[in-house]
Amino acid sequence: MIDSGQAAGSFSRHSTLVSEEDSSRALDRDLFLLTFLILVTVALFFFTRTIAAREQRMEVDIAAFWYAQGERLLSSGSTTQAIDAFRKAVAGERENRKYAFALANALAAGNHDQEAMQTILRLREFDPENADINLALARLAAKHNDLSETIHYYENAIYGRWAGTEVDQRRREVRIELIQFLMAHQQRARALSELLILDAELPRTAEAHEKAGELFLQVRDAQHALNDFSEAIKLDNHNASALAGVGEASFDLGDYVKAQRYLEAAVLQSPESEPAKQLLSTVKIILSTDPLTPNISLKERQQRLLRIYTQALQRLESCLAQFSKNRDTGSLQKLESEAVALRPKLEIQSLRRNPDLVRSGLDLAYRMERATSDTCGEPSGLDQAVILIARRHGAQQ
Amino acid sequence: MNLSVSSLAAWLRLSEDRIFLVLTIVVGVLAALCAVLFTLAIKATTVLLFGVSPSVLRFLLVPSLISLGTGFLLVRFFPEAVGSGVPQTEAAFHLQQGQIPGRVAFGKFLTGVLCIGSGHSMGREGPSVQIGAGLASSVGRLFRLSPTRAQSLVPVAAAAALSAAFNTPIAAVLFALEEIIGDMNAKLIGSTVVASVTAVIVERSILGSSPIFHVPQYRFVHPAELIAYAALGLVGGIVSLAFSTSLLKLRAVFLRLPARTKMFQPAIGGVIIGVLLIFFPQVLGVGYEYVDQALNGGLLLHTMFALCLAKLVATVISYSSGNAGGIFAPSLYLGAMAGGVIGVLVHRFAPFPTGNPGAYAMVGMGTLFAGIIRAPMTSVLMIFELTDNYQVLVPLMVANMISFWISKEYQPKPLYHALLEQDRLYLPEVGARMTTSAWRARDIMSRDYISIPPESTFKRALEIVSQHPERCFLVGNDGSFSGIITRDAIDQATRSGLTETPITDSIIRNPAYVYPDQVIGIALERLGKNPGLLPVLARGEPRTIEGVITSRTVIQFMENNQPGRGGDSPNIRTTTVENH
Repeated sequence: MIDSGQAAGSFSRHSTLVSEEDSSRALDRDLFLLTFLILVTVALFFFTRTIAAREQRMEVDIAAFWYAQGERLLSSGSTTQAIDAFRKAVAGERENRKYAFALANALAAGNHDQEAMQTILRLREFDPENADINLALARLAAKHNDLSETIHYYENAIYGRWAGTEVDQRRREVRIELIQFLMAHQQRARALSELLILDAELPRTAEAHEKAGELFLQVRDAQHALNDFSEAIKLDNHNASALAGVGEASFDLGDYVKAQRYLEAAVLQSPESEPAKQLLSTVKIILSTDPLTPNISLKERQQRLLRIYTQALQRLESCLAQFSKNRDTGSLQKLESEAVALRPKLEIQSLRRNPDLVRSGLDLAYRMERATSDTCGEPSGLDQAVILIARRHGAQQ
Repeated sequence: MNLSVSSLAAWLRLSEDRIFLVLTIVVGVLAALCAVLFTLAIKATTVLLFGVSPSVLRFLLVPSLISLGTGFLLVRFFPEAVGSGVPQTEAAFHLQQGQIPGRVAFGKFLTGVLCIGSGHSMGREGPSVQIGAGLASSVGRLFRLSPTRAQSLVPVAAAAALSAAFNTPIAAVLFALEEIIGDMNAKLIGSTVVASVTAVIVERSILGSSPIFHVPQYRFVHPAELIAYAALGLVGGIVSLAFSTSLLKLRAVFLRLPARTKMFQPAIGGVIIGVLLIFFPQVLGVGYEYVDQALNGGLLLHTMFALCLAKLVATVISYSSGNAGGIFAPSLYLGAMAGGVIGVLVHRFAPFPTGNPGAYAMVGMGTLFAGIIRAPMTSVLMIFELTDNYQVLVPLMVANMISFWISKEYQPKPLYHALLEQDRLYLPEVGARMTTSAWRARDIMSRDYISIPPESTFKRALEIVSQHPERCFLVGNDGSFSGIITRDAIDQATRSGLTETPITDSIIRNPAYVYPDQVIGIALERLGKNPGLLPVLARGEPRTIEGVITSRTVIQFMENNQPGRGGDSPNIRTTTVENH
């Protein structure tokens, strides 16, 4: 009934009927086979390791090929293909952080921000102080207007570990990037504090001071801007941008005479500089129309005052004509009435009797310009000059 | 010296238990080395055949021409190496007591490398399992292990191979238990753990400990995301069904083609794959680099959708046309793409906060694995091990179970089993599997039986049965099975004067029967349904008689196996198995 041959085979090892001698022979055989098998296994292990090492080298070569391809494609603007190439490089040599970083940068360039961020964050786990990695993260965070993350990563980058040469220069560039980001996000105070740190670490080069001056101007710290532009001119007195910078800073500080001097020098150095020319023109208007300029005749003073007054009143009337139907223009009309009432007092005899009328006239012109600015937009030319002249003489903003 | 050698020999006077333990480790190492070599060979072959940046001509020619060669090899020399390797290993374990011919491991290595390396969209894990199992079987034969021990080495090696191929030691153990053995409480768990751990140590010492996929630490962002993951489970189930059904149907078409075309079928697949590669080079071979990209959210929605479809088509064609390679990797690939698609859609349109699409790709991998391979627990652990991410376990389980349920509901037969049945190999059902301590039908059956030719008359039948006391007899010719017939039926017909009438109408054509590996409880239950005789039929060839079970054979068996009698009885063998 039962397949005895099969059953016997199945427990032949255990059969008590097998002789001691046969058993011993079988065990010797097992021992020999086991030793042989272990030796074969060890040999196979080393063989496999050799093959694996060889293949790894091959993969490294292939990865290097794809990395080079990726660099080439990226520089030629083929971002998508570059990403593919970098992916292959990374797949070939996963531990190579240079490849992974290149992929991340290509991804960021191709607007695959989320994946780029993940890739860089992974890299950061291995090297949290790496300045390049932190900088890349900062730029990605900046792209998404994530203020706190951006500042965090920029700070990490600035104080991180930089590879290569010109470390100070690169640090400064990153700090400038941070300042520009802060200014773009209305973080003036923070930007100014970063700028002051930058200013303290500037090298003695005209370019560095000029750049710092420009940034100070952007954060509306004209005094520091003036210092940096002046320093830049000391280092390079033909630097047109620095000359224009001193002019602009002086202009912001209300020193129009100095501003005119430097802006003229700047335009002389660089005649094609439109901003300098425009600013110079405004400066000239201010200087030629300021009725409170000392050492001018009463007649000249009255003419300047009348010019300012007429300009402000004309703008006010034009603004009233434009918006009287659809806006509440009560305050403008009140100013117009005030101006009309003042007009007879602006004659030369009145001014002689009461010199304070000059200041009152200027003040009224200023209020008219401010009011029309609020309703009809920013002033330019003489209108702008009226405001600046009034401020120069203590008008409150 | 002599003394120490003899004491060593005495220590090594190894019981089979000790030999088995040592072999478990050795086989684990060997299977791991083969899996690593297999992986390396595939990579090298791919670079050799396609170069670094392949041209259209290479895409077109390489799969076609290489498949011509592999077709020849597979048909002529290694027919067992066709396909994945996992079902073949299961069949060898359950139906052939773990016996795998020595050439299979070599053949699978060679043809697997050529097929996958030449661009066929197939996985390396299944072949690694078969290579490891084949080696283990050869080692078992070399050491003349008892059949049960030799059989036990097969899942042990399978676990080791999978552990090395995937770098997932826990999932590999679970896979061996869940899929190969089919019993989560199997006594082989200790051996599979040892082999699996050994294998992963070997693999890591050669290739390093870097995981296959580099995945960010995704988080489960919002409880409502479970709805999205459930939807992913639904999609995963549908894609699994589409994959399994189309694979089985197309394979059936290829199997129906004339035998003389068999050698060229892989090349037909190769031509189609070549054309597909021109448009979708991403489906070439295993394709894990693209899975990695999906997991990292690096693929666009339309790309993932297209790759999901292309991979499905490519794998179905590669597999159905008779190439050598697995479906593990393709199922993960499909899952990652399908998951990625759902992830992107959820990310864009869900009214609640959601995780990165990569997290959905990760869960998608497990979902498809559960749906196609039908090993849900293995899939959960495998994804956990592959990605090192604990956060996605709950979503993973939800999605897996839904996918598994859908797949099981509409395609009750698991893919591996269905593939085997297309090859006329029938695995035992789960209840009958690998309870190694139980008696089997083969243990109580008798090969000594009376068989009446089906064309016999009642007179001839009466002549045959008159010499024997049984109540019921087999009907068949030369070991083929036609049915059974009762003595009463023969007597009644003879008494009615129908002596020259053929017995055809009295044959019971569909009686209860058992396979030799089914447990004794099932055999006895089915014996009760028949009039005194239970045929035992071969699994591979269901109309072939292996033996019969009658009340007499049962009594005789019980007498032979009374406690204390021992001797020539399977009881001893089983006791040995239980003691591992």
